[in-house]
Amino acid sequence: MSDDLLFLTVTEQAKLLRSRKVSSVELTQAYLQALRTRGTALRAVAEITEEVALQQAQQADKEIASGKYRGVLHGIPYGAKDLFATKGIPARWGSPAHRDQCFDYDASVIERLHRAGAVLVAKLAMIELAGAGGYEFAHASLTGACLNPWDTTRWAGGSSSGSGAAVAAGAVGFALGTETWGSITVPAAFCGVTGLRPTYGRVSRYGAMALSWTMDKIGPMARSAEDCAHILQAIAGHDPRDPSSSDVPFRYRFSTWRNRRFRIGLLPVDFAKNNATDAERCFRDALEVFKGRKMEFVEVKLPDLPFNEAAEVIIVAEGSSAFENLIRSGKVNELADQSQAVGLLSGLTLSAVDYLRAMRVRAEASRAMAKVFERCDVLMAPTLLQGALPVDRSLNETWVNMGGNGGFANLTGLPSISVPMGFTAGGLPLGLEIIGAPYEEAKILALAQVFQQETEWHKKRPPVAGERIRT
Amino acid sequence: MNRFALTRRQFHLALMTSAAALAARSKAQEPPAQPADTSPTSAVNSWLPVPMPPEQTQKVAEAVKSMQKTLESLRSCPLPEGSEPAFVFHPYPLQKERR
Repeated sequence: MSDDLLFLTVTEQAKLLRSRKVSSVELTQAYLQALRTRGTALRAVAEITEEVALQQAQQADKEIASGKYRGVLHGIPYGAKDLFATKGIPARWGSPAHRDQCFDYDASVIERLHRAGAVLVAKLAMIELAGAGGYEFAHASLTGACLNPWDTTRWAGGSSSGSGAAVAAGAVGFALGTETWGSITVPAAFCGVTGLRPTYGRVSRYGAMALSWTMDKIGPMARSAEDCAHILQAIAGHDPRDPSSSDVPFRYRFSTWRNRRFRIGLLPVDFAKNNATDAERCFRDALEVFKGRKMEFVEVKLPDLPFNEAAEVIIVAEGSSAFENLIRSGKVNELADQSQAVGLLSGLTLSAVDYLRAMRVRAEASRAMAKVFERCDVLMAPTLLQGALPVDRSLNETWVNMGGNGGFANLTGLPSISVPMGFTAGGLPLGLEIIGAPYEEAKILALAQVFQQETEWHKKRPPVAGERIRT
Repeated sequence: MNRFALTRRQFHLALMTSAAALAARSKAQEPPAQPADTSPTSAVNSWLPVPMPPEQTQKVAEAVKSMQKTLESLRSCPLPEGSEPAFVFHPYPLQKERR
């Protein structure tokens, strides 16, 4: 089977599966091979789920042949970040302290994708505990540092590292990631894939590792915005097992939005100060695409509130509480990156009053952001101002002039999508981030889809598509 | 009625008096009290099965200190009197129908 097939979007693969030009078993076997070779070489894989995958693929082929077509995801192989409970398959949370962990049930998202007919081919590598305590090194993972398919001396980003790398390398059809602060958008930007972080509460967190109950979100990482819409459609919706999950319906039809003239709010970005000439060039080119589609632009300033500080206090407090058993047992010292242990331990000193103050600031922040969205439909900025960072150096040294919009947007639970918008002079992908008002995923998806109709960045394939990878 | 029986009030009074007397006696025998260790790292150690090693203690102390800047910024943000935090409590619904 040609490698080209593995780099098609879900939407394109679905047409081949439905018309039975390709079978799900064939597609699954090809992805399993890609996972065993380049996926493993990139350290993007936590566990290959071959037995389950082939069983699900055979089932999909049988159903499609008998006319019982479940929809676009039917028969499509995917990978899930290794923090979702998967019945009988290890869920190690990327953590040496959880290396023997296995649950006897499926997370809600795994159930929903199973109902949609998708085929689970792998659990994907991640930063241990999704970076709960704050990490200093890319190797803060049971599986080691996840390498970037575009340049294996670079990092894939975190914490959904394997999800980003595996999608970019054509080792899965799509992947599930999670984000508390940057864990979908950062690897999406670094790896040159499309990553959607839904509104907080849009997707049930039942069966997903909890880092921060009020900040964790689950979302798709794929090869196009259209794919992300299909995946979100399958996983969104209220779940009584997660009281924070919302029943606000998610409906998306590109045809209803494609000719809409959106008002785009431009966030202030100091490219010069951050030495971000590549990001500036790519971002200006991206804006030209939207200008060509007659979109309107407005300059937007964020309200003067301590967004990042509130987000940090909430994550630190909730993370230290979520991993209290790990801390009390002393196993926190088994984590691969000792910065994580230090972060989780220091979180124990936060007072309840400070946590509540952060949550009160958060309420003010949500109100203030609602006013911002009275002036525009979406917000837009580069996802990050630099390409993927070196894999072997301390992030304390390398994470400089990066920009990013994660603080305010995650604190206030806003949906966001990162799409490839070009490359640095050194050939590393850069991402364009489109942020929407709560529950307005349809608008950001439509704009991302418009952008991908006009550009080819999302179709670029990394040089690491062959079997030999320099590591 | 038993004439030696105490009322509940009398019992509590007697208990408190004897406890206070015992406490005063044992205190008089104790060496002079050391000031309690109220450092943040001591508070962290109270959660742990074994105290942190010196190097980790140092790093946690630095992290706590660095967190102070974040907290100062957060605390300086004016908030409306009595404004509510951004979360809600979900009362747990009954699983079974009442008979």
